[in-house]
Amino acid sequence: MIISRTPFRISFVGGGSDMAAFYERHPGAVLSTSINQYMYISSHKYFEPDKIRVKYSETETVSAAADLKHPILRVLLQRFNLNGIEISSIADVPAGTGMGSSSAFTVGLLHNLHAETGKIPSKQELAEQACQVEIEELGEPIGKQDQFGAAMGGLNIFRFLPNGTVLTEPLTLNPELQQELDSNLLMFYTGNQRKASSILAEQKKNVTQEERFQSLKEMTALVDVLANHLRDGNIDAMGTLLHQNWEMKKSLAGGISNPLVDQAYELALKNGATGGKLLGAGGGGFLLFYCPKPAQSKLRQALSNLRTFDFGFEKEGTTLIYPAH
Amino acid sequence: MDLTQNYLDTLKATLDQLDHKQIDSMIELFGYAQREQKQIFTFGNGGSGATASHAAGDFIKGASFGLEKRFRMICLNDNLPSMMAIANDTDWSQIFIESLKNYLNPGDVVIGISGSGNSENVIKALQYAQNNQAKTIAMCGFKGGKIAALADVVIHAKVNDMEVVEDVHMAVFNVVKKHMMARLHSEKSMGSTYDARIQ
Repeated sequence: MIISRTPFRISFVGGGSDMAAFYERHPGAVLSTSINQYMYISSHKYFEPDKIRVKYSETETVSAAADLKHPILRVLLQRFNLNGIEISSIADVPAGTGMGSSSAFTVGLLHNLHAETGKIPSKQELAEQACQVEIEELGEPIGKQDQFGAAMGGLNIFRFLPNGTVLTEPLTLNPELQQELDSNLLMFYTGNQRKASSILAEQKKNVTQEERFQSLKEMTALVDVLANHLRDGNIDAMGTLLHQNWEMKKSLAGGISNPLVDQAYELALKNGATGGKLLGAGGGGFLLFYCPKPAQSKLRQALSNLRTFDFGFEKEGTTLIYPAH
Repeated sequence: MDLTQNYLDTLKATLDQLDHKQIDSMIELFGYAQREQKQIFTFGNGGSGATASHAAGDFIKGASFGLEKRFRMICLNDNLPSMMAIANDTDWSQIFIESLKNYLNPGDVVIGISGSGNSENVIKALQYAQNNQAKTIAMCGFKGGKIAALADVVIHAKVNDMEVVEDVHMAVFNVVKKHMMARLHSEKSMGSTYDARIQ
């Protein structure tokens, strides 16, 4: 039995600049952190040596990997040419909620399958391979930040170079500051799931328009502004810049926000939050707010119709938890 | 056609064909190396070696002058004794990989320059760099050769003329230098003696 554990990520600023339509024109950048909410992928010898069984929200049993419905499982099990194997996934957070779950799945599955064949790829290789599978092979209209966020782990700036290369720059804060930043971030579940690709498809199409490109360029510039504030110990800049980013992101695609989300956001800002965002491509999922400690109970009360979701930063990225490495 | 005109026309045409995405990516890698204080290694044989040496000189002084955070760029073919010792005692193909083993850290940037793209010592060093989590840049000409497949960024002068390839490579280094200077230098002085000299 092999079990891989791969974290979800929350991105703070720069989202959207990780898509080829943008970074091929101008270098992209995203500031994000992985969190202690995970995708677990386990694999084990299947009782039937010439069959494959996979378990996710559905269960499939097939004779050939090519017959699998789940696209990522189909592509990867074909590539690794494995038979007589059973694979199941368990996640702390449902799919479609804006924390990069499908890429966490791909990275975790790649990690697991490499281990099945006796290889130990680097985290960078896992991220690159996951991008290759999701974006190039399956044609998903998504960016590259999810794969890197899930694979590398920690608080990072990812830079997306015009030729497709991705750089990882860890943002190292002293432990007390990081702890404070962590505890000043609150998350609420809005309960409204959506498939990332429908909104992203629009974003991809629209990003070719000049004004959207310029807006994304400004959002990307916020990454270094925020990173420098954090390095200088000014962690409250997180709230201010999240708010700036929110305003800019709203102008990107019609579906990125909805009245319910907008109302919750406004309410949060009236009750102590200084900035926030809807995680992922928008439409529903998790709302993230920056709120200094003294105002947090007030904020929780104001948003009591939403479910509070506890989380913390994590540093490891994708890892094999069984057999332990 | 006139040989002079022919050369200059070929050079212009080759410059026009450069892939700007790759140059922009090389610029970003240099920016990253300076911000993160990563080392940048460069090397090549013959004229490419001279280009490596010239570029390292430019970033040690020109692009770094007056900055607190400087470029840490090292040309591996500048130390003649170590190169000769390695070549004399082992093999020419080892001259760059051996000194990379002394210095290379994960995340460093490694630039291999080979007009043909097939110089054995450049190939070996880039392979080593890739296997050790370095960021790699290949500068090549002709058909790109083997080093084009070993790099994150490929600067390919698409021409079958070694002299033109060398000129193009140097021009690209100067473009990168110009970008770095525009980004990092608020004041333009290159030193009082230099400033007086170009008045």
